Amino acid sequence: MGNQVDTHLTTGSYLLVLLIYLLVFLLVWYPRRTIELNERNAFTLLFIFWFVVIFTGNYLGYLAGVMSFLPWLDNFMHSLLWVGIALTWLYFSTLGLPWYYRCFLSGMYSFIIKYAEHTILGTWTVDPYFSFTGPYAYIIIMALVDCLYPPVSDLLLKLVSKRFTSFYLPQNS
Amino acid sequence: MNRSMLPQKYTAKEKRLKGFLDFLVILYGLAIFVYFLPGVIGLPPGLSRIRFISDPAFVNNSVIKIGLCFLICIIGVADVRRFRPVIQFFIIGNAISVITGALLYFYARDNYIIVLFGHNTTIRSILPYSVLLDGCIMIVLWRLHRGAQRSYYGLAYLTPAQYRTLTALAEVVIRSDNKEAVIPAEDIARNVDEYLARFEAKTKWITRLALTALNIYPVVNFKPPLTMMFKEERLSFLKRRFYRDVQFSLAPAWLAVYLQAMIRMGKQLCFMGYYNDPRVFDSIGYQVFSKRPQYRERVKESPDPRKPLQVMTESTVYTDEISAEIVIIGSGAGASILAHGLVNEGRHVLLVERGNYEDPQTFTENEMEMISRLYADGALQLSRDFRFQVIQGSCVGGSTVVNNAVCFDTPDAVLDRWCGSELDSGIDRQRFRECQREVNLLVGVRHGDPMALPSRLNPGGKLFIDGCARLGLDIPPDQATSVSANIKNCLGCGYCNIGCAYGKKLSMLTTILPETQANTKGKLDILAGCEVIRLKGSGPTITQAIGRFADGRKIVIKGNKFVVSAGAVSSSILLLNSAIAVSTAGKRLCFNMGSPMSAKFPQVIDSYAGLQISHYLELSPNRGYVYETWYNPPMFQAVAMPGWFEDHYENMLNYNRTTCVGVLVGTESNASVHTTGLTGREIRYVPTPGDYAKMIEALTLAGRIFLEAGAEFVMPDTFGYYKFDKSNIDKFGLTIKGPGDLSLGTGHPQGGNVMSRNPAIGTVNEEMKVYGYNNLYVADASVIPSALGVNPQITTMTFGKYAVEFIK
Repeated sequence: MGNQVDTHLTTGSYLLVLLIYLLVFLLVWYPRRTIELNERNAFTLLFIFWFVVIFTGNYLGYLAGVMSFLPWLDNFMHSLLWVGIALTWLYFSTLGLPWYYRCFLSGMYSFIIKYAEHTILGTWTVDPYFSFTGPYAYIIIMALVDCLYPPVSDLLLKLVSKRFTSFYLPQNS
Repeated sequence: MNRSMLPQKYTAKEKRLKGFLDFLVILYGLAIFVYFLPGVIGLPPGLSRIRFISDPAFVNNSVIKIGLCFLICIIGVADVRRFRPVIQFFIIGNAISVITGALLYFYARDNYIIVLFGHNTTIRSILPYSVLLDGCIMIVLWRLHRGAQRSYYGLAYLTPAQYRTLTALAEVVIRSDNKEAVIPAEDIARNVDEYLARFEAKTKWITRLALTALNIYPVVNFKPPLTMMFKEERLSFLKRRFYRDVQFSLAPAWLAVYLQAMIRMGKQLCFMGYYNDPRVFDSIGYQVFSKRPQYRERVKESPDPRKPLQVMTESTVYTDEISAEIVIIGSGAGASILAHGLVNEGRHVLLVERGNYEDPQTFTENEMEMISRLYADGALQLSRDFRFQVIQGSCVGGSTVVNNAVCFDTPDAVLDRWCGSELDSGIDRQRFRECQREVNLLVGVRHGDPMALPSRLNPGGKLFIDGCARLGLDIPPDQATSVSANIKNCLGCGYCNIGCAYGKKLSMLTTILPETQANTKGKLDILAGCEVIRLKGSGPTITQAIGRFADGRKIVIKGNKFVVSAGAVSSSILLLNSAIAVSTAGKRLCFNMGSPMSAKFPQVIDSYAGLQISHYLELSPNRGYVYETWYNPPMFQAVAMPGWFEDHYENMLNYNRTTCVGVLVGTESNASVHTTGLTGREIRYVPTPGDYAKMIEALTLAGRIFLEAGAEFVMPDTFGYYKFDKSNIDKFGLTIKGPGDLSLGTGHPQGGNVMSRNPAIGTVNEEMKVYGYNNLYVADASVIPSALGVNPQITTMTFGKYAVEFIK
């Protein structure tokens, strides 16, 4: 765990990953194409929070030996574009849906992205992961972790809105 | 026929074109010799090794080509106006030469070497010089020709081709075998050009698009462009392709929509150019108010009570930022009453209006001028399929300046529905009715003589009421009588829809706004000609509105509270553009859908000479529609007059023997507003089968009423042309071919940001506050939860009054 694996980090590979991000983002964006004006503060907060947490968390996870190493550019793209923007957009697109469905969508889309990065860039590769074996075990477990995005975001926004009364808490969050 | 207003002598630019053609005649004349001589006397020494230029085939072809150019230029020089198409073809010929020369330069296979003045050179390297020469001639000729055309026609907005299309159209649209048009087609097109140049609507480019498409469309059918067709062939083509194909569904549905839109736009432009021209008035029996015998007496007996209004405009606001306690976007019925209430509560209010401030003292009798000044873009709002027109005023005072001032209280049945479980508006009925009573007093709603003496009502309205009486429709609980309106001592000029110049219509522009300003010094500011394009904020608090003047300059408008009150369509657009209430704004839009029924009487009626909407009929129990008698000055009426080509022209010759009633059907809330489409203001609406059935039922009865009153025949406003008399009125519903056949429109859009305690359907809550925002409100017709079925003015004002309590 935590070892450098065979990667193929060419410009073309990164562009292909960006294309996958874009296609998945279109799916996420389509049901709700605008972030309501009063929700933009919350969007910005979640974007910054998750970008910082995931970017540093991925590296700290690697240092702690519980994650594989993510090349810096991949880590940056993944944290900024996928988690920061796309997952945050997904959070707002799915407001009002049952909590378990929202978690499932976050996990499912995360699995698609991680699988794409694994296939194209060779990242997200740890086998076996603790006692779980198989090429997808690590990706599935990491995607399950991403299922926590909606409830953690809900909690964060509620805490902030209690602290700052002018902060608008998105409805149904 | 009067002589055209076009110049008789050549203009300076035409002389310049003629001069250049003279030069080309000399150039091509010399070139004929240059090409011909080597073929008969041999090559000069320097060119002796370029044998092909003495080749008889080359010489012959070249002389023919240059000879043709020479002849074309000679014809053009003879008369640059008469032989304009020849010059155009010559320009096109040069363009083709440039294109083929360029293609040969890149793709020629036989690139052999020749010796020119002792130097080896490829034949391809010579081609650019030929292309350059033809290209230069083409560009110079094109520019001179364009300049000459513009100077000849003296155009201010249309291009010469669009002008000619309009002329060609007018030649066949405004005509009849029995009576010649009073003014020439060129003058009609020129009138339209002048109107459009003055017209301050951003979407007026659509008219240019329609004219260009009309001109080109015959080419798709392997015919010459419309402007080049012989008059009879043009008429026959228009009737076949734009009328019969659409009416009898011979064209595919998607194409029929555009064909219908094109021809409607084209013919309406012709009507504008013709029926707004004072030279035409005598021929149709129309007299402007200022020339009617009663004019002096009526104006003198009733002095004008107008008060001045202080308005800030683009030229008087020098800062980039402006602020007030409460900012209201819009200045119409809801906005003005709300502003009045808030100012009386001691608040400093700023009204921001997209339209301009127009001083009523400068109102004229010219319909086109007043439409430009008072409606602007509000006159050109069409639904996505171009079949439904939504007309709204766009000036300080909003639609109250151009409406008919007809006042109906909110019907009980409608209020019941709003307060029912489905819409759950949360309206406090008692307070709403109190507000309505106060509004009626405030805006001066009157009925009977204090509003208008019987002699000043629309004469056609009396015939309609007579017909109602004969059918027993005037017996209570049915209501068939004169309307109530916020009008005082009407002079009967018949210009309600183009602004009352005499201060008798008590619009917001002439009463509430100036009175509020006068009574509360410095508390009410009005900024006109400034469109609020976006609201900005932080979280649930709106902090500023971004306004834009006509010249593009932006201004930041700050306030503690913001109220959107720009009308059903514009309020929805503003919210959507600002990403506010994106899931509900613009939804549940509804209308009082209107369609007129015209009736031709044997006697002269002069329906135009009286209050425009004077009488109404409301049946009991409520059927979901109401009738209002209605007649307009000629240009407006021409647009609503049924018939095409000679039929329309003949009907307009009977303008003073015709009258009209409008049917208003309160529609279901199935329309919506979107920020997409060509103009970023898209209205999507198709009448439901239920609403269409109501309209047919109502129009049938309208026809019966007029026939009973002595009309020779009645005509609905349809794409096809139908006349009904007593023998066939029963077949009315079977004859009309569906909603696409009827001309439908409205001046009463409602809903879009409806008021409901259910956030799933409501944009605003029961306190008229937008869900999710703590200082943003909506107070106009867009909060109306479902269609009223009667004129919405008083209800909209009531919502303005009702909102004061929540916003103050």
